[in-house]
Amino acid sequence: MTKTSEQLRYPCLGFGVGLRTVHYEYILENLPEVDWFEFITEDFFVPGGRPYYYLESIREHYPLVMHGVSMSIGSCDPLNWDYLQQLKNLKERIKPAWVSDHLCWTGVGGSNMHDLLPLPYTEESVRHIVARVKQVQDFLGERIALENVSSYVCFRESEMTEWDFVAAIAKEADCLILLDINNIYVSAYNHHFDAEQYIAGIPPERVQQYHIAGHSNMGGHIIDTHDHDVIDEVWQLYGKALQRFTDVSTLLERDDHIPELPQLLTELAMAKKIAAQMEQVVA
Amino acid sequence: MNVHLDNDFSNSGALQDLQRQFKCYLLNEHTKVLSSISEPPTGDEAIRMQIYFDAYRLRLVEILTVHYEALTHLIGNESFEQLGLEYLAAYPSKVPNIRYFGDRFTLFLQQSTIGQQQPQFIEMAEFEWILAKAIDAADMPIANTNAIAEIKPDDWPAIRLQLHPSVSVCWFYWNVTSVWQAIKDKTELPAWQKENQPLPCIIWRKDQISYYQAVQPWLGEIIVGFQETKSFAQICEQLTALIDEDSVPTHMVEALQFLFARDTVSEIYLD
Repeated sequence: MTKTSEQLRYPCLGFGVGLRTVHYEYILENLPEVDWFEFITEDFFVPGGRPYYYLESIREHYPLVMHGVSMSIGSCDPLNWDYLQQLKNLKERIKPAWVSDHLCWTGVGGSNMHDLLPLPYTEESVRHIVARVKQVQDFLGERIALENVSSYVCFRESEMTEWDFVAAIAKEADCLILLDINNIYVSAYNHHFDAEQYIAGIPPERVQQYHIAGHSNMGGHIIDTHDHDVIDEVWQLYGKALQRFTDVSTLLERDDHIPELPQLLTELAMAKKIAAQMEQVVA
Repeated sequence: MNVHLDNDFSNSGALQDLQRQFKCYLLNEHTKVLSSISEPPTGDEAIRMQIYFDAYRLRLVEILTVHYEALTHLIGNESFEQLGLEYLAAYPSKVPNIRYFGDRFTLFLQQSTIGQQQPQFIEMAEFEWILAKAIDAADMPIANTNAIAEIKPDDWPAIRLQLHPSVSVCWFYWNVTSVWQAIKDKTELPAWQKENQPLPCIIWRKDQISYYQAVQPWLGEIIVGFQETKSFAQICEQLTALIDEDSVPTHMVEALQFLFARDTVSEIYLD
């Protein structure tokens, strides 16, 4: 029997912002109206000290979500159990609303390239990743969410579309999807596919969270730099996603040229406005 | 949740080959992977792969400039970037937290031409790294001076101190701390000066901020002694090689005052 969204997903947290060190003091001094924060998991793979001090202080006031960049779920290296144990320890310490990472690989042969590298969309990749996601979820004792990444290349051996690939892994591994709207836009631009078709191919009951972010358009291609405001086309695509998926938490990401938090909250208000408009349309 | 255990990931032959070729491109620009890349709608395969090639270098060199800010200032952005690329080639990252990528940079400098020509740069790198590491060193309780009052007179020779994990003692020939401070304060840099013997510098964390202080050799030796879990008596005996025997008790008291005032003692214990 097919599971419903309520059976699969964690409760919606509303509208959040990526937690960055430059905002720590502001957050604790002002307790701004943000529904939740998402932090980079590996930034807290440290023995102790200031990172934990701030994270635990902020945790007292806000729900948090762990967002990893080094699980390397698509790598052909064996799963890194030391990494997973650190992740589990952090999860038990911080008690995040959920844990996410990326549908990609970040290294092979023991190295970490610290980049979200693309996968070929093949049955072999699906089988490989599904088995690994199941092991990770079994170890953590809960579903994780995997994010679609921006890509600049596609592989000749790919046998399916990216959205079919994402959907197949989510269904077969029984995991959730962190749907990055900006990444869909970036990849659609870079590979000339239809972004709306992508959204239409994603199973609604698996979508846990959105990412929205800015990027750098180089003309012939876009680089996913997270250093600009969200552009209108991405907001429009976000609106399309809101029409298809319900009760999905939204997170605004910014990783470079990070403005003051109030400026980011103004940008986040746009997401709330679009969501409110979509609710009216649906009603 | 269904659990399907499939540990034999080496079966992913084509995927593994592709990832190895991709990695070879990122590391050495080996072009074999290009034959696996679909022709993109704009540009070509090499232009698209160049994005990954550049991002890999930019990201990791940038993190070095963050952790070795003063050294970058001294060497210059362009030369430091080149040095960072050489480090990346020699010591590719294996850590999940990118913050620790620079862990072997001091070691790399020791083996480099610039490090041999300008050994003060090695000490600057060591200083910056340890200062940063103090920030996220493990947490431990801080003992207060009441703990000293509770020590019975007969127990003093046998007591040992557990220093806070953020405490480090560095020994520098060069005036790296004054140069570092001038860079931080954006004031005129002092000339490089070299001592005949290395002098100790204590680094620690208090209230989530890292601090440093250049100290006298005897104080450095005492702190190192405590870090090596030596007893009061052992450290006192060791000190006689550096200072007059009669002044050892006074120096030990001064050392305790120094350590407690800086919240650097976690525990006093008897072996």
